[in-house]
Amino acid sequence: MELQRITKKYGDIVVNKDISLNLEMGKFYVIRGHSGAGKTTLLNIMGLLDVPTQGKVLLDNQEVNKLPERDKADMRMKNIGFIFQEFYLNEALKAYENVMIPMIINPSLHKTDIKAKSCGILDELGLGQRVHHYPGELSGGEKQRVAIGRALANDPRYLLADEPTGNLDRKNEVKILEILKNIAEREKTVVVVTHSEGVLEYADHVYMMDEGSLMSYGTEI
Amino acid sequence: MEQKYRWLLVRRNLRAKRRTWLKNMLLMLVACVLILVTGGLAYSIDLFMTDYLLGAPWLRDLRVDAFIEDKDRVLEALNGLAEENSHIKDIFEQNPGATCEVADAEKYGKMGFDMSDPWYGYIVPESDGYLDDRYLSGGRWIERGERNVGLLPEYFTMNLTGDMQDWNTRLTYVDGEKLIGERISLRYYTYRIMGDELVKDREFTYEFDVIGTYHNLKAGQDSGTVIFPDDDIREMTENVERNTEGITKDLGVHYHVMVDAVENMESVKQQLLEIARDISNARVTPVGGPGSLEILSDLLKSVGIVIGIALFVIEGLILATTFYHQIHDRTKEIGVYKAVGYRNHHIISIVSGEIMAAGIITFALSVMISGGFMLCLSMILKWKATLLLTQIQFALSGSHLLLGLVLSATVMVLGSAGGLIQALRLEAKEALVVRRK
Repeated sequence: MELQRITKKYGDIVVNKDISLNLEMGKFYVIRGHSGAGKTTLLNIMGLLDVPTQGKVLLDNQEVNKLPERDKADMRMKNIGFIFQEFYLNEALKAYENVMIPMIINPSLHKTDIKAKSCGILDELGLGQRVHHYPGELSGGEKQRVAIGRALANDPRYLLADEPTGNLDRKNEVKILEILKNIAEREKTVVVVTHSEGVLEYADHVYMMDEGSLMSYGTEI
Repeated sequence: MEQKYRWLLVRRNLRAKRRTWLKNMLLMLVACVLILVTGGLAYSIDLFMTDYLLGAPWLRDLRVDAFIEDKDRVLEALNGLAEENSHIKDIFEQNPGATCEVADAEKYGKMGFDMSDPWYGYIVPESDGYLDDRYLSGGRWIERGERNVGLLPEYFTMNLTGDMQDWNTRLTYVDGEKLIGERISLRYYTYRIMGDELVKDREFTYEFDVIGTYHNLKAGQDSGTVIFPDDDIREMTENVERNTEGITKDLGVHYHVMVDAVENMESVKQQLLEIARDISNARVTPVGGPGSLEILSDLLKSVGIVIGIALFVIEGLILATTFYHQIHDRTKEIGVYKAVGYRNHHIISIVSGEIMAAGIITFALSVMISGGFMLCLSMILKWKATLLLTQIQFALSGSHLLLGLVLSATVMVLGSAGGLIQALRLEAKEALVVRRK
């Protein structure tokens, strides 16, 4: 994925200013910055949830930011997984059913396999004993692992996480970051937006976002 | 999206948000029951009025009165009109009548008549169109030229005029069908004047076989009115007239014009008034005066429609508000769906599935409640009401339920439209908006 000279404005307010970024496969990217710096907006543009005012988002050399909404929805389903700070699990569904949500609409998956596949993903994330539990019965760290499972459901190439450890204690934060690091090592691109410092040791590339501009902060640990 | 998974999401969402859904369903249920009950009551009462009250012969009877010297002109004009106007079923002259007694009446006393009370009935000729074969309820109608046969009311008593007019269920009624095949003997008399009184003079007998019964409640006949062949009645009348001295001849003639249906009364009445204008002192009078009943029937229909529309609009507004708030409360959930690649039709499929499931459950419950209510009402009527009112069949007909279903579905679609549009307009990035602490 490549961002070319992305600018995002809301009226007169410039949220992202002339940002260019090339996301390589198998890398763990961290974008840091204070609240209101424009991190989430940039993540939304990467995830095709928002459109830049100027600039291009390229995926496999195809400009995807101008695609119709239905095509962008397909792109998201196949290529992008999201992780949110507040998990946003469906409280009515069991853990494995939450993971199944993206699989249900994926035409390339055999529907008979998806339950087994979602249970397998949760097992890999250390939740083998929790697959039949509802979110209300899980701890914060477990909920976020279910949310990661949901993000991985359709085997996407990009995993975009907005403050994934913002609601977790240090012990669970470490666990989640290790999982994300492992995912990146499996030739997937992980982008984490955060203001936490604990994530730095896991990152391959760290960027700072300040007043809409993206600056390289540190590389190749 | 496979139906299996769609229903999984629908089922789980309904269960998880059951408090909200139950509140919505309760509102829908109340409105739905009110629509069904109001419609059912209006439909049942209107059917009863149309079928029973407005169809009764006495409401389709127009009487033309004229002086005896105009008899030929009146009859000629009326016959001419009957040829032109197919809504006129018959024209007949009003008979002066004669008094009859049922021979061996004591044997029918044990069937319900209180022989110590005054009792009475009427005789009507078969072909005068007052009662016709539309009212046949058992056995058969009188055939052309047939003599000494008769039809009885299906359900009658000959006691207590006042109570019978109220169709009092406390009276013992006779089932006319049980008398089919019986031979009944009548006695009728000529009279002579003794002082100021008419006294019986000579006795005649007339026997008839009961060949059938007519639906007297529909026909509005509360007494033991019997239908005989024209020729038999003519013979009885002639016998009385021929053998009775000093009968005061009426100075007027009275013709009855039987119209086929109440809705055609006004047009026939106008034509009769034209005839009456040409003949001095002729007068046209509707016997039953159907106007007020028609107005009541129209009023009932109008009230039913107005209440139905009002409930329809209120239910629509309630649903629109509740669905709008419900979708608003589910912004994050719908945002997540969109973020992971769900398209609008997937979202609509899930949300409308929930609405449909709730709607079907609510409609089924409202049918059961409304049906139960109608059943209770019918049972109360059967238990306490007068005989005539017990004929009202309070029920939800198939077409009526279909109408209710279509109305409810329309209300649900319209009521939920706002919420669904809101769901479609939601942007996926809503899911990524984090409430910073």
